[in-house]
Amino acid sequence: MQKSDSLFYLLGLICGKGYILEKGISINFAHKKAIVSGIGYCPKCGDLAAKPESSLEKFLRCKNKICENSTKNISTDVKKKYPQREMFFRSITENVVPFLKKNIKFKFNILSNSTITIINIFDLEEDILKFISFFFNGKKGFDRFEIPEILNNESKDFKIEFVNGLMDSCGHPSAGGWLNRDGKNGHGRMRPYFQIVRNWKIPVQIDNFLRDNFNIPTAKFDWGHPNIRDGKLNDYINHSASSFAREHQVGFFPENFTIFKHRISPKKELFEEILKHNLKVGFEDNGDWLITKKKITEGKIKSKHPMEKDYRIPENLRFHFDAEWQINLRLGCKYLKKIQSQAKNAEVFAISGDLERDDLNKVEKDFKKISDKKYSETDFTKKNKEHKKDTKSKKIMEEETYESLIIWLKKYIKKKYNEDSEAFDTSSQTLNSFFATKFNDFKIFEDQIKNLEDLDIRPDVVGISKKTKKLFFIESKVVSLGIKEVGQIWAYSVIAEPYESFLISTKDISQSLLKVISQNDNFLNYDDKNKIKVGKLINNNQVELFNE
Amino acid sequence: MSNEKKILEKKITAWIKKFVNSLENYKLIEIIQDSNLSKINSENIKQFSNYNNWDFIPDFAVIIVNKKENSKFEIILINRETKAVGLRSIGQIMSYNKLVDPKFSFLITDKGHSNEISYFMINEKIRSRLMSFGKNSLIIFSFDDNSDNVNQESIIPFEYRNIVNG
Repeated sequence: MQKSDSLFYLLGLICGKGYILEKGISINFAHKKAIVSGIGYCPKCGDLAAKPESSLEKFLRCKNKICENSTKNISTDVKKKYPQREMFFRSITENVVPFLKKNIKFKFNILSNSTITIINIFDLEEDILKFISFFFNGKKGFDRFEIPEILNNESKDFKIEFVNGLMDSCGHPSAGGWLNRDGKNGHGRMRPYFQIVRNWKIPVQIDNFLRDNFNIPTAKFDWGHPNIRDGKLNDYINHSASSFAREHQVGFFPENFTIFKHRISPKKELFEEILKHNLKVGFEDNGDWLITKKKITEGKIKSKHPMEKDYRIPENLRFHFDAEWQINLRLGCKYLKKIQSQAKNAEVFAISGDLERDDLNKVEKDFKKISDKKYSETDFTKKNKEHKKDTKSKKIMEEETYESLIIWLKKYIKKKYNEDSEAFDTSSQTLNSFFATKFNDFKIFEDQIKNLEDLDIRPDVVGISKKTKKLFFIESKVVSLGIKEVGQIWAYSVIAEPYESFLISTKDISQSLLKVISQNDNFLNYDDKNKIKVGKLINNNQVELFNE
Repeated sequence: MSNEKKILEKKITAWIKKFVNSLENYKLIEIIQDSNLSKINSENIKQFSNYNNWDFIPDFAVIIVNKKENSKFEIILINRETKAVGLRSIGQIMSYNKLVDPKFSFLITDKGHSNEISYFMINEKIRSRLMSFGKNSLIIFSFDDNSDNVNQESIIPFEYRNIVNG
């Protein structure tokens, strides 16, 4: 097998957000928001413009306090807008696939919704698939992959392509949430990050790999650990005790990453925007988290958190931590270990970041005392009212979709089969009475209808074509369609064998269902030939089908 | 959680231990309750090649190991119903079964079967299409009202009656 830059780019993509399947590879590109925006600049002074803090308003204010736009509204139109779904799809087909195909033979399909685009790669040559599996030590999913030592022995170009793949799959250049730092020519240091889901080992491995091979530092770690994500217990108090268990982030500064590149849009464009900004503002240091002071002062000691022993946290991390780097150390960061080796007492360093002290028992006792005191002083009655939203008024009831779906189904049958049809919602009448009143030759499907009635099968909308008497079912939902939601319409369809069967929601299809139907060809089958069609009702009048 | 559900879950937990004990060559490894199988931090679940697609929450996922076949990990899925079992609940667990292909799959109820289910008992063809996955079948049963024993007459399909009781 010939190793190539395409192969190492693919390995990076898989490492960040991929799965190794029995006969292929699946890579998920998440893009949570339909539209992402670039950096907002004040049209008057050129400083950064951002939404006022805690404001739900859709305008910006200049961050430069002496600019007159710091008190005036600036339109959000000053920011570039990137429609993610279209851009992901286009760049996968136009950039990623041709680059991979340069050296690797495969077939592929792409599935997408508004929050994720999935590429499934199959018919790969056997030795390539074997090498990929070997590279990841037989593990199957991104939440278990590690960066293997053997990668360090590859050529610099291959290692660069591996990082390019990582950046495209789990890198997130973002124009929001910049670091509040002044540079020589302005303010705000943009900081993209790697977003790591449920994999506790790889964040430190990414950091150490970049240092070992390119002498490139990362900028910040954010761990999905209660002490780090919810250090002040705000989420815990507001009944979101498990909200800490989100992804980990490894932040970096784009000016240190110029040897790497994105092939996926809009990551590529956003990366260029924020790189340009940071270079223009001009920062003197490289922003390395490793060289910041590690000593933990009293003010930085965190309250103990009731979720420190939670089952979502790996056993070796079910402890109290006061700083992000302490988790890095426990996870084996070799650069921190080197610093630790210079400490008078390694255990004291792990607790306090202090290189000089040697009195372990006292340090342990003091830190615990402060942490416990902060916990006992926490006000557990305070609630965060700002986040409470009244979503009820906007919520569409399932019943409100039936009429639209009836109209859509009739049009669908007419367009596809050139037949008129009848359709109705089962909440308004029984199947029997509907067919008896609408069809003169009711007897020809009386038996079928009787079965449906006997079995209490009630899809939300039932349609039948007038000429060929084809039966159509629709199950309507107002929640995101997941694996669970498929069950009911599947069971109805197995028994009644409609000509076509639909599962349609006002919400997007979930990422998990999209992933399943892209990887399991038969998952939606209700007989040898037919499968449930999954769709989204848009604006209560159109249906987008995902798998027709 | 209602008291009814708690009682049923207690019965299920006691029964599944006895059930796995009765299986030749199998050992119970872990009982996972009410957890999303693709997201739970369990090394046992991660032994399965497709766990990343198991983005759902069965009431119970029971990990067992085959002591003879190279300590192969296998799984049992269980959903429970405190109302009569109907097509919706069968469809739900069958969606899980199609993805997981478990060694056994049970739908356990404390309210017996609805009319729908009675129909399947006499219609072999429909029952098979609705309850079969891989080489196995979903098994539906309930416990006796006043004990932790399985109600023998409640077990569907009939041919699994000996298996359920160990």
